[in-house]
Amino acid sequence: MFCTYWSIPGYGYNTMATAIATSQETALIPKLEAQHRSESLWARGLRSLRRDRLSVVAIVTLGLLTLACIIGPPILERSLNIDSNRTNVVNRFKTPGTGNAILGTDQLGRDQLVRLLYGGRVSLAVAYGASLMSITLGVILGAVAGYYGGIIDDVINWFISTLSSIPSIFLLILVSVVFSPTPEILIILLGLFGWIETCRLVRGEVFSLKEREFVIAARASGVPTRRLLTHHLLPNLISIVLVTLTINAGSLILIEAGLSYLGLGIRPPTPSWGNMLTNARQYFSTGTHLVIWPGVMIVITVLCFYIIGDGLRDAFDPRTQQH
Amino acid sequence: MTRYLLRRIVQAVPTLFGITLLSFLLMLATPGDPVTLITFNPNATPEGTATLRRQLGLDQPPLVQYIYWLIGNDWVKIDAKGNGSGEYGTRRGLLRGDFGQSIILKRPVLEVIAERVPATLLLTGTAVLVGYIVGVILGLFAALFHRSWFDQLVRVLSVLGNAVPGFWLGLILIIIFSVQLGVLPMSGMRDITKPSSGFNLQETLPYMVMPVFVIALGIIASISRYTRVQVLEVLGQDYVRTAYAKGLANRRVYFVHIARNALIPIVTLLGVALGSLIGGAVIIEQVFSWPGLGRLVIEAVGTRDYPLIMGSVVIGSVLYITGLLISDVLYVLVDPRIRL
Repeated sequence: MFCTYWSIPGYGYNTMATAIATSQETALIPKLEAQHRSESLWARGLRSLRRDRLSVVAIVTLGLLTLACIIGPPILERSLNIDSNRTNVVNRFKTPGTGNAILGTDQLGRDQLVRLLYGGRVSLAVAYGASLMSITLGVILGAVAGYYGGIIDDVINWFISTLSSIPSIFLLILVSVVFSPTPEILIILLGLFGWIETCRLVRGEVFSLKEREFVIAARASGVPTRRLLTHHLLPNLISIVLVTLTINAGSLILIEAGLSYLGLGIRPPTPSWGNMLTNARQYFSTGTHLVIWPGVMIVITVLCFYIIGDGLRDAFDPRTQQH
Repeated sequence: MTRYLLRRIVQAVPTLFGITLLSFLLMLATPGDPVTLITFNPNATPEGTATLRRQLGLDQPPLVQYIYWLIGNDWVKIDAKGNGSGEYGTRRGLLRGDFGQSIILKRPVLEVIAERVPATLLLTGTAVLVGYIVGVILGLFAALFHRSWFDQLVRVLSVLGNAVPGFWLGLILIIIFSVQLGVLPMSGMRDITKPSSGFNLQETLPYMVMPVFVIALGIIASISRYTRVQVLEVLGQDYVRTAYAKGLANRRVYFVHIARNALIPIVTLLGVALGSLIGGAVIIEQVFSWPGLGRLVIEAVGTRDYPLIMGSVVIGSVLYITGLLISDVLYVLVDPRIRL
């Protein structure tokens, strides 16, 4: 929660944001009025999300950005006749707008725009992938720990307290040294270390849910445990899951960027927004555009994720529904 | 209180054990052998290498290596020459305060780390202080003037402050203030062209401006957001309404009734903040070449200096856990409603 990334076993912004959500909304928003129409959770959530203009803008921006990263590079390479991997010493450090280099070229004469888009593929894939993975792990482990309690709970808790007592940047550095990651490995590593906060949240939620009448009623009427978990408990976790998923994705962009910047994440020549900044110190006088643009991409993407996360929370939290 | 403290300390024991185990296992899995790095010269003989391996205990099975690291090896004979005879080891082990020798620097790990910790504490301590003061003030006024332009500004700032990667902001600041304007020094902690005369705050201050700003910004973002929410919650409480109703001046209500109650949870975050910043400054230290613990870890990783890496991780974690503990204790001390 401090110092943007890593302070934070289980990626910062989220922890505090969740704490805030629960306290803020209960205190501020007038008590929930009786629902006049019956509407499914999803329909209501989506309707309220559509009304939130900032979130819509963020979703559209993120969607366009993702699309650009997926289909952009080949189109640009064909239409502008660029090969993003071919180095060309004559074309080094071209300023943006010269020739066919819209955002200029880097220290090896490669087109920056195309490399940014390729880097975006990697950075976004890491963010989406690792976020999905950590959520899956967190929900499963949290639900199991919260529901069964006892020794399973103790073991999972020991894991959580140990992992969250090591400053997570140290842990990530250690692990990256051991595995010198490709994008796929990095997704798995970040996924393996990001589930803690989700697990904690889900565990707490399940812990309180399992004593509620509807769960007791379901159990009394003979619903098997698996079905109880998947059909009665999980739907109640939807808002936690969606919000954590998005906000984690944003934090993961920052973590990947930081690791790659240190040279411990994605290795060149594969571009990522982080490792495009690794040698930034050398371009301070020759090519400031090489320092500015990767960072701008990171900021835009992370902002979108955070805004969507906040929007989702408001949309899916029943206490914030206003008419 | 004492009993509570004791219980918390006892609870930290299995956690610490887990940390040592984890960092040891990770190191074990690391590709690259320190011996090959040390003996990376054409004159190294296979016999010499083997002796070195035995001296360092690298020929032992992992479990034995872990035990030696943890409780030392001065109770076993180390057969360095490989001829059956040997002398007792010299390591006293982690539990007895011996973190081993740095393989590359050839000095005790604890000594190397102790040299770097003050720099990190200076940087993060200042940043936490600045971040807290600014963050609390911004958050407090944002909440008191809820939905005003100032409130909106603080909200934007808190989202932005969390979304901007600190290392990138650092690079941009260096470009603006060091390269273009030339008003602030680019990196390091003091002017290395002049002879060192020990630590001198006046000399170090210009070097601190940018890194402290970058780290503090992240704290300001979180703290202002959190303070704002806390204050808003307190504003809705009955005792605040009562205070207004009995005709107290605005200022008195703000600072006596609202601020005191809202700030309790924020004060307790201080410990967490200090603890987490031990590790949190790694990248910023790298950007500004700040000679702290974070840079040490990165250097040690580069040279595969196992004892140094493991030592830094353990020390970092101990500091972190201490931070958490302090924050729990603060909670009890600050909030008179909690009794133990």
